[in-house]
Amino acid sequence: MTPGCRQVRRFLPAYYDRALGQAKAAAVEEHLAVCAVCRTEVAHWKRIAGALEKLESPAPPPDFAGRVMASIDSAGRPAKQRRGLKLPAGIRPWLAPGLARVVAAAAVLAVIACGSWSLAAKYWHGVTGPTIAHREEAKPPTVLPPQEKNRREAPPEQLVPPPRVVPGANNAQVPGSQAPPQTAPRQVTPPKALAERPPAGAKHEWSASSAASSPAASVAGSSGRVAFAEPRVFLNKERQITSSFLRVAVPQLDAAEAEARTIGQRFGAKIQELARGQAGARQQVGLKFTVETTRANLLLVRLIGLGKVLDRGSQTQDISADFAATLELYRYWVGLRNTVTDAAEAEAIGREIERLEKQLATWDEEAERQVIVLWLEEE
Amino acid sequence: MSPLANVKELVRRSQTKDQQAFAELVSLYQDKVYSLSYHLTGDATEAQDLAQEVFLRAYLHIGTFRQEADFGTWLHRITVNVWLNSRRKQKGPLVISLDTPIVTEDGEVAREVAAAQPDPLEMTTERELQQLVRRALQELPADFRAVLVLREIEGYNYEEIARLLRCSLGTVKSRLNRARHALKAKVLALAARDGYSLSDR
Repeated sequence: MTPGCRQVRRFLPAYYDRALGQAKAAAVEEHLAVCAVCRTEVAHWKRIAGALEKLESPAPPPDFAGRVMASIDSAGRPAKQRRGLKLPAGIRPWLAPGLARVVAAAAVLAVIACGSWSLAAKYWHGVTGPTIAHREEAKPPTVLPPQEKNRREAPPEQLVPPPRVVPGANNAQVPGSQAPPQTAPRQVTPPKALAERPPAGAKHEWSASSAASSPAASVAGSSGRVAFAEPRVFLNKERQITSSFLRVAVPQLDAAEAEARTIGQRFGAKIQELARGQAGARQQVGLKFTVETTRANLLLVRLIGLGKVLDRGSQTQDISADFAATLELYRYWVGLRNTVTDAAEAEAIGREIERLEKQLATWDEEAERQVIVLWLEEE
Repeated sequence: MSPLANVKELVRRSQTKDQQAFAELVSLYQDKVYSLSYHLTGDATEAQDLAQEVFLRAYLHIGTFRQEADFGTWLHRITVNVWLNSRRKQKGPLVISLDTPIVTEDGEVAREVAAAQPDPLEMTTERELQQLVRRALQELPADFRAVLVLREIEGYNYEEIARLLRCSLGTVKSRLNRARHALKAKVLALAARDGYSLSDR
């Protein structure tokens, strides 16, 4: 891949949205004129976006307004007229996964039997605020809307359960990092019990199959296979990648570095030198420690002890959603591959599967570990 | 009275629980709400139910509506959040991270190889493509579907989408980027499955 492609790909989203300046847009177009790969990519997207834009929706039924007003009217009626399924008080899906799944399944069946949004509406009457995301989660009942008629999502045979809410807000941003501050809490704050669990290392297994289920035979990394190995089994669970950043001033750089490495080794961390040199008048060295999540905090404390802390921060990324989305695509492709007969097609699909699998495996691994970046500066 | 002033007046009256005024608002905005509902749910019946739910909540919470905002956008915000929330109850809450890269380095190679093969969409007509896109959209995860619908169909810009979804601008951009990739992958996968060949051999 030529360097031009990589850069152009970064600009493409803005290019599609016509948010690029004239000069940059012209540069992109210049590249497209000579590069078939990028040109195809852009052409695909343009056609798809065009089709999206033209998607029509039918008009609402003629009695729609009447129905709305009727439901408004009845929403004012007293509580005993509302029907709905309540979970017994004290049962929270996130505290008792096994039991809750049974009850929730019953709830789903009940709601399918009874109805629809309007039923849910009567039940949810009284929730404050139009953006429901925060409050709803805290309510005990899990009245679910009816199962969608066409099965759109991938069937949940092995990897049933949803990733859960990230406990706790993110820590202070790494100075100078790109991530902008959130305008509102991005997710619901879960009930106390969940939030109080130690986040580091607490792997919350939500898999329907037993937690001991081991991945099926791993697909070999090499390409060009004809017989397909079993696709890997990835558990759908909470995944976070946490990285911390620490800048410490020390009287003697060499001694401090040696000490840091010793400590890191004792913690079983993978140590990587990031940089070494002069920053203005001061000698500096940067080290990256990749360590098991359960040990990260302790390692951080020990590294802090090396000298005077000038700066620190940390960042947590929850990749559960990305993981879930990628996993879905992965399963989709795997399913597809089993239905094609053409060898070339199967191979192309196989490559896509490998790519996705690699990404999933990388995320899987990274989520088990934490990264600590240590900058040592000689005083 | 100008249309905008008319809406403001109807909202003001609705805030005093004037149901007649609200009924007029429903008539004025039902197409707009229904359209978004339909694109999100993909199904006429569900869209009706969702739209009805949206107006019900709008009525109940109209006291919180600030007059300087746009009423239609406010309704859309309710629509997308109610829908996303219901999806979360089905599959669990989804949180999209900001900076996670979409592909590893090796993914670049796969992209080149795939693109070197004949275009799987080359032979599809516009109508066929529409069907593919419609189906692919329905198969995407809810958060992806939401940003795509808001951006590509409803035409909201990034800032507006960020306000509608109550997330940061960066989140919108990266989510949209990922969503576009996912949609493209699905469309190509569906095209392949339906027998539009990936290769001529």
